Amino acid sequence: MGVCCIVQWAYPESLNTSQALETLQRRIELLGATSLGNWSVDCEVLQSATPISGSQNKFIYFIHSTEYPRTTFTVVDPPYLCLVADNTLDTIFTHLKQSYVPRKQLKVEAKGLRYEVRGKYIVKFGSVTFSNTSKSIIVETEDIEENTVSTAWDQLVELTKSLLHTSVNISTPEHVQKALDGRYAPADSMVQYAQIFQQIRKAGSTK
Amino acid sequence: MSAGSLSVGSVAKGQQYEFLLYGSITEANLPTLLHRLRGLCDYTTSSSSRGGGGGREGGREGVGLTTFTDREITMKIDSQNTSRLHVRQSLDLPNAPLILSYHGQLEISDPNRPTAVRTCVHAGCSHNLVEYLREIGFVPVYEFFMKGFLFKKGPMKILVFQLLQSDQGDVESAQLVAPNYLIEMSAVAASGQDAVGLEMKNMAEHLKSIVIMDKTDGISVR
Repeated sequence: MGVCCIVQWAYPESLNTSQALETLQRRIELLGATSLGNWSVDCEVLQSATPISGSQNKFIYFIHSTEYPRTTFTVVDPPYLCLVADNTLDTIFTHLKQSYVPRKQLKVEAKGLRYEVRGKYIVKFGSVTFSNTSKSIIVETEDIEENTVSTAWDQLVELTKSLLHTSVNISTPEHVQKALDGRYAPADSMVQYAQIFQQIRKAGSTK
Repeated sequence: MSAGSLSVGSVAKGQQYEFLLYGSITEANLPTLLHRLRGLCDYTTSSSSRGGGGGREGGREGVGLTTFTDREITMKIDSQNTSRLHVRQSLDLPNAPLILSYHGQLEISDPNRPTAVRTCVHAGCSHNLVEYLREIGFVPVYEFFMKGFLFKKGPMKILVFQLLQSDQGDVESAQLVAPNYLIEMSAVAASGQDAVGLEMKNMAEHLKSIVIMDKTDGISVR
């Protein structure tokens, strides 16, 4: 697992989601990338039934990824703290229904294609659906050889920009910024996913 | 991957049944019990104990004994009468994952069952587990340390240990709750595998001259 840069793509108005994905596919294949099949990330959201310790209600994002099939990542919002656990954690939370209830309208899934570029990068892109309604496109670039953020981040940003044909600056997420010289972990990617899913949810329908 | 695994009515993944028998002996009888268990149980060099418990070979009683030191914290959501969760951490193996456990109601009343039974779910977690649980509203109910010996016999695990408690939260300053050694015999199996309970009962019969094992939970501080 190397450093990952995950962004939401605001694709041109003239394209629909599937056309935008085809465009990305053409661009990545022009770079000589090798197809590695499919990937998906799904996310369910639990909400505290009552405010916790007098503060606001907490949301817990339960994220599962095809990259880590036996693992559940759960991110608490606030403060974006990620717990990495065996997937039996899902069953433990079904016993806490009095305190945490699933938000049924918030089943998020990101799925699409996965490519390898020059043996150094993994690029994944796909559509994000909220309860089976397509909402956005997500692009993840990973440097598989490097797990120090400060070394890998700028190159990943450049690769992402060249794929998306955009010059818009991609800011470093706050929690990634804090770990610039530390080891990047899969949990950091899951926090990025949770933040993007939350942004999409708050923005409502973008298209 | 399991989309929708948190939904109502989904299959309870990882939920199993834990068969349990409990006992207690005085410190003076410990060498006899350890000697008997060493003869009855499988030879273990080093292995993981139940929960977060890590094992380590050696100890003062010599080769063939696996010792362990665990910390257990029980937590529940503040001011709510909800289920409790148990966090267990091995102090011998600091890099081992923390184990989060949910235990169902202990079923001891069925006279046809040779052991106490409860549902259980365990999940290995990263080391920020306690911080995470506090963040989502859990507060510690009690905390204790377990220090003792671990034996295995097929699917069974037998823990012989003393309970310690500390105000400072570290095992060095912990004081014994009682000088007695507690014995917990357990086996985890899927639903319907009641033969495991009989196997445990047979094992308990072998120990009967030293300790009487029964269904009463004398271990959990409740």
